[in-house]
Amino acid sequence: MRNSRRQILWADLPVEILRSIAKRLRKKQDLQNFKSVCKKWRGATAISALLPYDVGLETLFSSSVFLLRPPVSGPPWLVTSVEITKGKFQFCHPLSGDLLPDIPENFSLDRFRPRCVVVDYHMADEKDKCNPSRALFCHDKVLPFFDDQSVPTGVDDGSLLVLFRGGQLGGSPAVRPEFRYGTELPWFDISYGSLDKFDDVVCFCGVNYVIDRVGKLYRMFTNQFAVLKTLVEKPVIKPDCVSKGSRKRLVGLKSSGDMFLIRRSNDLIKVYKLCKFADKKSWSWVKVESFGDDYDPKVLFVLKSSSFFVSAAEFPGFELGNCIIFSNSAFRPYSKPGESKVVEEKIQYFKLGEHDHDDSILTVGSPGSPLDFYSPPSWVLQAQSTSSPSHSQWQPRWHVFTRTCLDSLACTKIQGTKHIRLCSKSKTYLPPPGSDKKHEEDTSKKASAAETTPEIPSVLASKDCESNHKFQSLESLDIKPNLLSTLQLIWNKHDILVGKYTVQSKDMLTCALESLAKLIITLQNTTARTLTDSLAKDLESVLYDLHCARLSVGWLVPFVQRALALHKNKPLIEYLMAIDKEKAQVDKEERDFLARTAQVKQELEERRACLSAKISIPEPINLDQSLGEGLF
Amino acid sequence: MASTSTSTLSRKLILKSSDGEKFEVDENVAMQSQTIKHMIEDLDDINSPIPVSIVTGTILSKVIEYCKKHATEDSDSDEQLKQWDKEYANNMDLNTLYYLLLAANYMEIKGLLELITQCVADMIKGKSPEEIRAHFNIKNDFTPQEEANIRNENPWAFEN
Repeated sequence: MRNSRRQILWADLPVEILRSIAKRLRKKQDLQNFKSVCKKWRGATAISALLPYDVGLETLFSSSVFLLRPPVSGPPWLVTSVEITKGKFQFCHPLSGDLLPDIPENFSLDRFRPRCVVVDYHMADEKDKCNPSRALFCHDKVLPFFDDQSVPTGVDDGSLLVLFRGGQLGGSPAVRPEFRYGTELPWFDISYGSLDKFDDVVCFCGVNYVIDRVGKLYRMFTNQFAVLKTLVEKPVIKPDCVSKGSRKRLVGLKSSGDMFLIRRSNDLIKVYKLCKFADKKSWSWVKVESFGDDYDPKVLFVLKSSSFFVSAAEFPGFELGNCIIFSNSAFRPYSKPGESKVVEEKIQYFKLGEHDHDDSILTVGSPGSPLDFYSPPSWVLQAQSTSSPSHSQWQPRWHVFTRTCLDSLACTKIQGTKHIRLCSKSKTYLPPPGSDKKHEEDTSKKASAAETTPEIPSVLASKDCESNHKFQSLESLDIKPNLLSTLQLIWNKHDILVGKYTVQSKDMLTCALESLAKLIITLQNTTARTLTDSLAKDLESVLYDLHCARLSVGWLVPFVQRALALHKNKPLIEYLMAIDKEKAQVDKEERDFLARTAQVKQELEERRACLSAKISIPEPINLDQSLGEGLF
Repeated sequence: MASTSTSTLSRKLILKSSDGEKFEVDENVAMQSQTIKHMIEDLDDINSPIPVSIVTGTILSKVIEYCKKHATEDSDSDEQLKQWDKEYANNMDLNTLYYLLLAANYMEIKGLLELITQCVADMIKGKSPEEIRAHFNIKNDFTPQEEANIRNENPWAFEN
């Protein structure tokens, strides 16, 4: 009796039951359908559902990077969740692997609807297990390897591939139960060619790919004795330059099916895409300046052992399309034996296609500095503290920084020829406590430059107010009469000449003010629809020049930004409007149809009523019924 | 060995369901459940009822029906037993199958678990994800974007 009242939740069956059901689906399509039913069913078929698992003297465990969207707007939080001990989750910085200090006990990501962006595997022995930041990087890369990638039904079915000691690739032919904890695993080494040093191994669309130090790409077959098949023969660097280089990385982009090779070359990051040669037979690496997909540009995160793409749209306000964010140890320099360099951990940033000299890598993203998406944001801690109070040490320390420091980054380049488009909309500059010190520690020139050049709107409003107030009124300047009225309005409302404007001559100032007036007239007389490419470019460059002249035009920035944003997205907006229009049309047709059917229904009802009134037999009528029914 | 097997045959155990229903079964019937086997080993008084705490009487009676059939293995040929299994599973409605799965998993009855998981797998075969959800009353908790990603997940590779 109780059965019927209790809820039947097929989605919530224990993982082991779901797995044994999945194992019985022999056809690939059936299994694919099974995995598409719901998250729980999907998760049950993943190998990570069986981890942590003791293999030989080490424990195989997984880590996942989750992306959590904020409740209102703003940048997301990226966090690594590690499960070294079954059921116990620890939260780490995705790039450095450091344990996040402010996370309370029993913290759960579930309430924030986390989205898993990458799952990575690791192995650590008893000694390193207690320290996640060590355990995560005991080896360069660990990859469970299954012959039939469609159903990893158990850890036992697979092998392990391990990239270790800076370039050796080895593995266990099979993770059998007889190699349970306490025994050494039989390992094989894979060597190939004369170099036989490997840089990265990834599983992409169910196939394992390996890259060596010169950039040759191999595909890997069979899990018993891994066999490499050369896919790209032509190296990306000269073999004799190898010793000077740094670790190359492989990453696949699921949405397009493309695979990329990422390599660091001094202060540049070079990206190569796997492309077919013109002869349609062989593959090669082709240098690219974008990850493709202009409508939904991607940002690439390169961690120490894995890499992943996220849509740049997840970071509203930060133009991160075709950017690479990485920890500097992700591209660890090859060092000669015995020469182990201790590299200081830094988070760095590089934008593809926008470098014209060779200092384009910026250091960013340490707590409180630009692009810090990794420190627990205030909305996470606040939400958590409402459920478990008494954690006075959590202060919303980071959330203000992210934005404000970005402003300073935007400024770093504004006076040079390059312009990094990381402009944010925030208007107030709240210097983070202790940020000065942080920046001093930052060795990067750019970061310190950012410190000395504050944010655009505030720079002119705040500093050096004592300087030249030579021009007290517009009348003293020879402004064209048709622009004068507009300029007068602006003049009355905003202090354009506050601060140390660099224009000294009357003529130049007149010219600047006239440009300003023209810009304002353009903004007033132009709609997003009539704004042309050249006009948009003019708006941007006039504003830029006014900045360079150090006129106080911070109040104008949001208007111009909005105009440019609208212009840039015009095709999409138009498309959106077309869809809306089409939808309205369909709605109208639906209403008409419903009205027509209602009318027809009513007519039928009326005719029926009319006819049944003429028949003198009581209901119900059934012509197939025996006429003799009811006789006995 | 012969003497022990006759002695176990004669012993009776009492299983008590979560809703208090009691079932008297031969020991060799109950011993098909690994869980009960381990419980008996730790039990001093064999005559006291053995609680099967998460299984209701209705389900437990069905589990016992299965175990009885499989305890008397020599009476039927493999073929007949398979046929019996098939009919046994086919007679269950979906809710009963759900609880039988949980019961077989909890009681660790390998044969029954295999039978029911196979039966559920057969229901899934040939169905689209939407049809599977409808059949088992499962809510789709993927976002449209995630669904699109899953659809595009056709395994393929860069080939020479």
